[in-house]
Parts: sequence; C-alpha cells; structure tokens
Amino acid sequence: MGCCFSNDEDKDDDLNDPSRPLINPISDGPSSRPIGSNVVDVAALETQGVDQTEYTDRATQYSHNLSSWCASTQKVRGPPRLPIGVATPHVVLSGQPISLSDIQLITSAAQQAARSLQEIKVRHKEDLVVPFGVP
Amino acid sequence: MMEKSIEKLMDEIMTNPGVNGVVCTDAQGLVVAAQGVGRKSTGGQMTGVLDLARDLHPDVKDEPIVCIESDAGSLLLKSCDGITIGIHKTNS
Repeated sequence: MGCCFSNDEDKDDDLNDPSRPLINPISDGPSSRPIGSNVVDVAALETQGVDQTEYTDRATQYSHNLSSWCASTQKVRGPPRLPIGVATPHVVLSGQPISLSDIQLITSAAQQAARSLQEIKVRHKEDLVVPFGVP
Repeated sequence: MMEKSIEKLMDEIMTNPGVNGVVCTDAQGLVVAAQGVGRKSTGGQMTGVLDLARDLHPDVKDEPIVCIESDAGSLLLKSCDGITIGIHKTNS
C-alpha cells in the first residue's frame, strides 16, 4: 500500500519506463539515487598530468588564440577615443610644452564659449502637454 | 536663435591656422557643439581629463590647460565656468 494513485504495479511501470537508464551506476538503492546522480566522484576520476613542455605549448596556443580573437573582434578592441600617442616621445618631451599662441587660442575660446552658453536659455513657445483627441 | 552664437564661435575657431576640429561640452561632458574631426563621443573623456588635471594641483585657482600630443596632431583642453572646450590641431 502507498499513497493515493499508487499500487504494486508501479514497480513494473518503472522497469518498463523507456527513459530509465539501462545501467544504474548507483547500486546503493533507490533512496540514494536522486543525490548520487548529481554527484561527481572526484577521487575516482583519472588525473591528467601535464608535463612542462605540454604546459608551455598549451599556454602559447591559448595566448595565440586569444590574441587572434581579440584582433578580429571589433567589440573588444573598440574605436580609438583619444589620440593614440607618439612614435618619438623624446622629441615631444624635449620640445616646448605649449606655444603661447595655443594658450591664448584655447583661453579665449573657452571664455567666449562660456559666454555664449550662458546666453542660451529655454524659451517658452508652446505647451509641452497637448490635449490629443480630447473634445 | 541664441545657439547661433556658439555655432558662430565654432566657425571662428576653425579659421585659426592648424585647427581642424572643435568640441564644446557642458559640465557633465555632454557635447553642446562640435565641428571638424572632433569625435562627439570624446566629450566625457575631455571633461574627465581636465578634472584629473585639476585634482593634481588643487591649490591653483586657474583652470588647467591640457595638451595631448600625438603623431596625428594635438588636442588642447580647457574649462571655463563649467564648460569644456577641446581644440584639435594638426602638427605644423
């Protein structure tokens, strides 16, 4: 006897179930089956030893695959945002920092831009909310 | 139109020798106006670079001027009253 809708024929149905595995790796009984099927026995696994040469070869192969994948993927590389740099940094570092004309140019430009932006104001021209389809 | 003045200023800056791009942003790095080679997506980075330069010398009252030099040209940056302007120049 069991709970509702169960009888002794359940065993036969279980055996005839097509989804039932042919070989049950857990032979401790039905109570441990749900747990045992989700457990990987690490101690029983074969250890895969990697010698130094194979380790180096794999590292080289993985880094090569990664670099080739990064070079071909636009999403990872992305477009250059700011100027990339200079080929001869000693020439730039030994030169004059910024010319006086550039300082005057950027200073006057910033002041005029600030003045121009202060003049920009929101001018009320029409209602933002317009009744639509309302009689 | 009031925004005509900033567009006119952009035109004037572009007439300077060697200038090939201008970007103007607000305090949050949002681009208000841009002309030439200046990429509009660099507005926030320009503002961030100037914020870092300001943090390096917190005692200095004057707004810093930053010049980023590269083989392609130079980029001059300066802020004034909350706005940031960047001027791209070719190597002359």
